[in-house]
Amino acid sequence: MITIARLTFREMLNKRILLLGLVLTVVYLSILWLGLHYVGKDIPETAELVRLSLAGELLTAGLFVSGMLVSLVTVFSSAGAISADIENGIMPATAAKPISRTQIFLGKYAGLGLALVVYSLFVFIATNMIVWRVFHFYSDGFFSAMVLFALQPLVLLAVNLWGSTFLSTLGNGVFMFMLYSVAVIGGMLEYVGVQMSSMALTAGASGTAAASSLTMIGILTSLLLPVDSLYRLVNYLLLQGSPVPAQLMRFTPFLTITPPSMEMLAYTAGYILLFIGLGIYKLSSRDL
Amino acid sequence: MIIETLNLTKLYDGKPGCRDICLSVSEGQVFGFLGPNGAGKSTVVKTLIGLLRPTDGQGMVLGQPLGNKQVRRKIGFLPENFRFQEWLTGRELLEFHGAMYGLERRFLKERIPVVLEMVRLRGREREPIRSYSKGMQQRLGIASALLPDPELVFLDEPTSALDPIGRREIREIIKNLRSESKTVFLNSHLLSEVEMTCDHVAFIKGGIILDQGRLSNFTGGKQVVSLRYTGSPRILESIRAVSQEVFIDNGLVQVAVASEDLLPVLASIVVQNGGDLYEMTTSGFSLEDVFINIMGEAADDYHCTPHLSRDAE
Repeated sequence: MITIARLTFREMLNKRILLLGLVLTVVYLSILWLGLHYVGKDIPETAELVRLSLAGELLTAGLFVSGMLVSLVTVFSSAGAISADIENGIMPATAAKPISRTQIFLGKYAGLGLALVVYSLFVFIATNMIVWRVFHFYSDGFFSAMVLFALQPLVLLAVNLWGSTFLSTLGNGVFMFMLYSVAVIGGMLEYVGVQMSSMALTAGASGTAAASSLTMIGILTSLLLPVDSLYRLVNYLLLQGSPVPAQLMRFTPFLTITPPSMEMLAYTAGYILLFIGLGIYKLSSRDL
Repeated sequence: MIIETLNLTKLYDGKPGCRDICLSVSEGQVFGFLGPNGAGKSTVVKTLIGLLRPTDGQGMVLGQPLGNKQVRRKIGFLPENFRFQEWLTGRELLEFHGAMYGLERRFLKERIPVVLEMVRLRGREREPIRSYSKGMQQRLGIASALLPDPELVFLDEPTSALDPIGRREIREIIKNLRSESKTVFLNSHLLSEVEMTCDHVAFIKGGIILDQGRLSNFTGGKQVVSLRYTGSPRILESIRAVSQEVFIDNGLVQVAVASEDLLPVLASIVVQNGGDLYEMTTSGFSLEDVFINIMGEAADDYHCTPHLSRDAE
């Protein structure tokens, strides 16, 4: 398994998609830094609340884009991790060796996962560093948020590798991109639903049926692909551990007032294991 | 037996990849598996190695059921159209494959130069594979198959990408393996390769083995008589009555005969049936003649009871 993981990791570093992703990431981080620099320059030193509020809002917005970059790099760099090897004839030579297909699958997952975790940590730390540098913004929840941020590509990777055992590279890439889009849109709808309920409660009314429906859509899409809920938990941890007052942040589309529960985290862990198991089963039982 | 199968069958969505395959390959044999493209040769090899799951039937390789992980340590396999991680160097690829075989570093350090020498790639192993020619890549694939010093080697169309010099080198490698008492299962549609290297052969078409046995039993002592004549269709019927291996090539009726005694018989068949004989020549019976004959005889819906028809000493 370690042999496969090592080769997969090296292969990943050789892929153009990762190189392209890194170039675009550097471009994105440069633009983010430049933008924040000009925003931060005009805030008077006395306007502490405004500075904190902007810092929190821009950090979560930055992490939204960072998460999207990580997700897209994950989807497109690993969509053909197994299918391409089957299509181009590398897999038969590998599977004919005295190693099990479980080892092949886990080796692929470990190699790709390691590369993607390193990449996501780089993006997360860089984004936080920029906000810290411009706004002197620091959160006590930095490390736990970082761990959860790095978990996002592992969720996507598990599903992506499973799809790669029976779909073509192109088909799997399209499927994963659509699944990811559904999860993101669902997360936004859930946020709107929660906001509507919150406003109704503030006004003394009970929550509307529309708000409940939107929240339910969000929950269902989170179950389908629990990536957006992880992102919201990352934001919650970062802002919860910062000096930003919650009421200042409630109207940003990137913040979660009610964070995903511990059960959701457990579900995410189970979700990863389930798709790894399904992928191993599918690869082990298919013809090569 | 190194390989033994009984009614091994692989269906793809109900369509046969191979059907009722009964093979016996003993130690030290160089076994040629012959058939046209799409005949099911690769399906049989992949099923024997465990890459495909048989739909029906049984098989044993090196005394273990098909797909046994431990047995794969003793098997070398060159897949058809073998592809590589082209960004690796030749040496890195062999190290990677060696690691997958579970070979120790110390053994690999000694073994890699040996296999590189065998396939004449010594000195090129530090170059990236993407800079290799097709022939060099194929030879690297063979080096990879020979890396664990296997007891059994499956070569699936090993010479398909090679020039005549490369083919000759592969033939030499196979002969060396035979001299080391290794068992080689050679999949090929290049008959000359098989004729020059194999001692046993099997013919497959439409996923079914049509015939198999010692190569010498197919070709040894036989001659082909080529006849050019004019006359009634009765002549051909009479010729078929004395020899079952008759085929027509470019207007010539070619008849396989076991001895020269049949030559005057064939001539008199033409004359006695009122025909005019213009040409009658004899030549050795090649594997190609056997192949064309067997494949020509077999209709697409040919059904054959698997048997070792030509294996009698």
